[in-house]
Amino acid sequence: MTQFDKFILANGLKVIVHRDTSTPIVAMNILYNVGARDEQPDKTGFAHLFEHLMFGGSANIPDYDEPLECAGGENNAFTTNDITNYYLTIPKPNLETAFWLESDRMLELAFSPKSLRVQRDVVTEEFNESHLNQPYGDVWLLLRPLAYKVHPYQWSTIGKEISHIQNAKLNEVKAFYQKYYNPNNAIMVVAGDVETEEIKQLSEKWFGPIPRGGEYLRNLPAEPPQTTKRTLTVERNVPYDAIYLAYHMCSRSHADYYPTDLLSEVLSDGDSSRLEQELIKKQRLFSEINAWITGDIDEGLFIISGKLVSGVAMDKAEAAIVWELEKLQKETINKRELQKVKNKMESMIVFSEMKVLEKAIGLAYAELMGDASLYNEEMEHYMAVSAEDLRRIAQRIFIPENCSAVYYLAKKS
Amino acid sequence: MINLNRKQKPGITSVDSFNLILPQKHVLDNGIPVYSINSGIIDVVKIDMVFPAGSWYQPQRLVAHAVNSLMKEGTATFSSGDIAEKLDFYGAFLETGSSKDNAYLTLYSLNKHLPELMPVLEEMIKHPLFPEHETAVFLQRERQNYIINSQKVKYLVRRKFDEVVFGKTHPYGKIMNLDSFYQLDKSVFADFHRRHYDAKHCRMIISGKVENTIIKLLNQHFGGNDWFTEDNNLASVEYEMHPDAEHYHKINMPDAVQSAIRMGKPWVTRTHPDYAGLQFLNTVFGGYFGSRLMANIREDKGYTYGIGSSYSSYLKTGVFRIVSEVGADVADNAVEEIKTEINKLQQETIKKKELNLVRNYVLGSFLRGIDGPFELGNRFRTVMEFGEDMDFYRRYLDVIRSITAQQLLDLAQKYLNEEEMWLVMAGK
Repeated sequence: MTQFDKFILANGLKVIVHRDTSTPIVAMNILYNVGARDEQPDKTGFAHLFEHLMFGGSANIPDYDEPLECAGGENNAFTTNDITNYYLTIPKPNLETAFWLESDRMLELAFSPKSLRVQRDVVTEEFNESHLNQPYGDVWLLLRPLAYKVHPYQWSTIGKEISHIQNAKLNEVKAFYQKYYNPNNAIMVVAGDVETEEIKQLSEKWFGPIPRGGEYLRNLPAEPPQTTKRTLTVERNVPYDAIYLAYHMCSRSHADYYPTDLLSEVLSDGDSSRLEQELIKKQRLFSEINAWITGDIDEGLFIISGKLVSGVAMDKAEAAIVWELEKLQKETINKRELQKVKNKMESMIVFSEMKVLEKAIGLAYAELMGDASLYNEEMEHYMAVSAEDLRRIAQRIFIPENCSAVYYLAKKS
Repeated sequence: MINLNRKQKPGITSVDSFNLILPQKHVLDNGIPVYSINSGIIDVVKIDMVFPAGSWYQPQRLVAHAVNSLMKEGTATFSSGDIAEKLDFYGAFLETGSSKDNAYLTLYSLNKHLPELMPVLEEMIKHPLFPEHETAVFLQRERQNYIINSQKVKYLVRRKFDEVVFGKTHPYGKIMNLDSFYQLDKSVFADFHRRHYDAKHCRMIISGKVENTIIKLLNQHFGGNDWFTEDNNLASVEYEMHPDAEHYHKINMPDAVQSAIRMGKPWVTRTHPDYAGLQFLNTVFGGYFGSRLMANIREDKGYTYGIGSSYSSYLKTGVFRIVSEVGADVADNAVEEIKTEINKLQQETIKKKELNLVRNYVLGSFLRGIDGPFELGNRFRTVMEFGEDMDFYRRYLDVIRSITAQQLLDLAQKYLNEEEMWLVMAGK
């Protein structure tokens, strides 16, 4: 049980404090409630580009990283379709440096033209490195727009195309900051050997004076139910064929999230999972196969992706996956297998609670979902899942008209 | 509140105390040393088993990696599927891995499940069978992964770099290639296992919430005399390095959007007195986000998403490497900038401010690196492999705290000579 205290500053910043006396390191996590789903369709990749600009200096501090490193700290950030999350760890005695740095960039960014120019290039190289210069690297740029026709999950966090990044203007970037980077749109978690009272004082001192911003009311178009199977076949310069199947699933806050997640565990978590045992080891159709859920806040995707063994026909490979999915619809899984995925989940949760940083990120995310205490309820939700739940979910989502398939073929030389 | 001066940074202190918990040494009935680091508050444990079974010892390419990976693929008592099912059922995570020197099997488990898991671990270690079917599946998968990776510029330079720096005849430079899969003689697996994974050569590190019952369990399953291989003296053959006379190598990838760069040279090993100073120097140069390489080539020029350098040590040699993937059209510029940064370090002393920053950063990183029992276990394993103990880190920290700009300049002049480095690039 991860204990915590919570308070809200007058400007709307939510602060959560978790005390863990076993470590000399304090973690600070600041989650801004903005992700790629909040972008304009003609300005995609902005949330992520913005994450880079947050390191380009703020109103009173020319460089973010240097003072933090000088205080023995380390930081990073990530952007998803839902959120932009900044985190750091720092030795306890230097904690105030973290408050100083994070509050200044929440107050006002420097917006130097050079920072924008350079980070546009850096993000372009990131796009190249992760999506273009890798075999199979562009698959998400294909799969998302196939699965989503209306909802902004149709583009990746890196953006639809690199021109959106290259064309980003300083005034657009400033407008993005004003709209989303406000205390009332953020959640801060401090975890470590700290007292709530001291965090309250530091928060009031450094974050208290930041003015509240306008309220952002998210109003995203819902993805209408898919009614026919969608397919896309591409040829690329890769050595082996690959298949990607995406099935629409529920949102993160839906009760069905937990059984859906466990279904992905049954299929592909661990060496004993069904796809590994059946399709890799026994039938030798795939050299690699995975099932996982995107876990997005809005209705997400259940993904199955595999690389085919050389010489295996695509239709045979797909039929074998579908056979496994149909088995989950026809037969309830036995007690031991259900217990196995629950045990595995228990382990994962226990191991994830060993680090203050992971706890801090988890608490912030839970608070975004409605209440930080949800973080402590995850285990219960997983343990309550029944075999019948799994079958019900499988029957609902693993149907052809709910599927978007990318057939990624090796170009014949 | 009104008087808050945001330009004034809060005071900071350097980290000066480190809770370097010393491992407690236990000896199993058959002599196997078990080092335990008991500092956990959560009921989990990590068991690390270390064997001299890295690629240094292999009779052919791929053998060390294959044997290490296949130990979980079937034994006299348990099939591959049984092992996988038991590990998963009890929520355990098994990591296998082989490096140039040693090989590892690492089990992460909740304490409560250890009694059920231990017999499985024992079987894997003592009686693997290397069944034909599982071996074929494994090799097919590895071969496909190898071929996919061969399209990635960073893998191409990684392989080529080791080959040219250590030389094709040295075990560190004998890099796996496609032929390795076809020439592989699977009949040597059992013998390699018998000689390299026996009680005489086993060492264990156990970290987390270590209860006495766990040591008893280990003794029960691994403390017997049933897994000594007779007359098993691993010959300590020495090999000479014959690095490539040509210091520049280019791998042509006409379609690549980016070029991969790998540049560097052998440095001294971890046990050398210059080790700690060189780690410091490497950090200044390319070892953290604010490093010289990042500041210039990413944050000023925008040539790359990331560039860095690293200094690591194998048992027989250390190695210094600069690594990046950069836009294809700016690859040559990036190399020029790397050379500029090398020259700067060789010609100008590091200013006090930067020296202080890096010192604090390295101390802070060290604190993070020993934060938790598993991290402490990792730190201990690293020095144990070199025959050292935790005292190594006390000496290391002394150097980090006291090293001067002049000493760093001397090190740069001695170790960073660009003409002694190899440069490998893959791209257009």
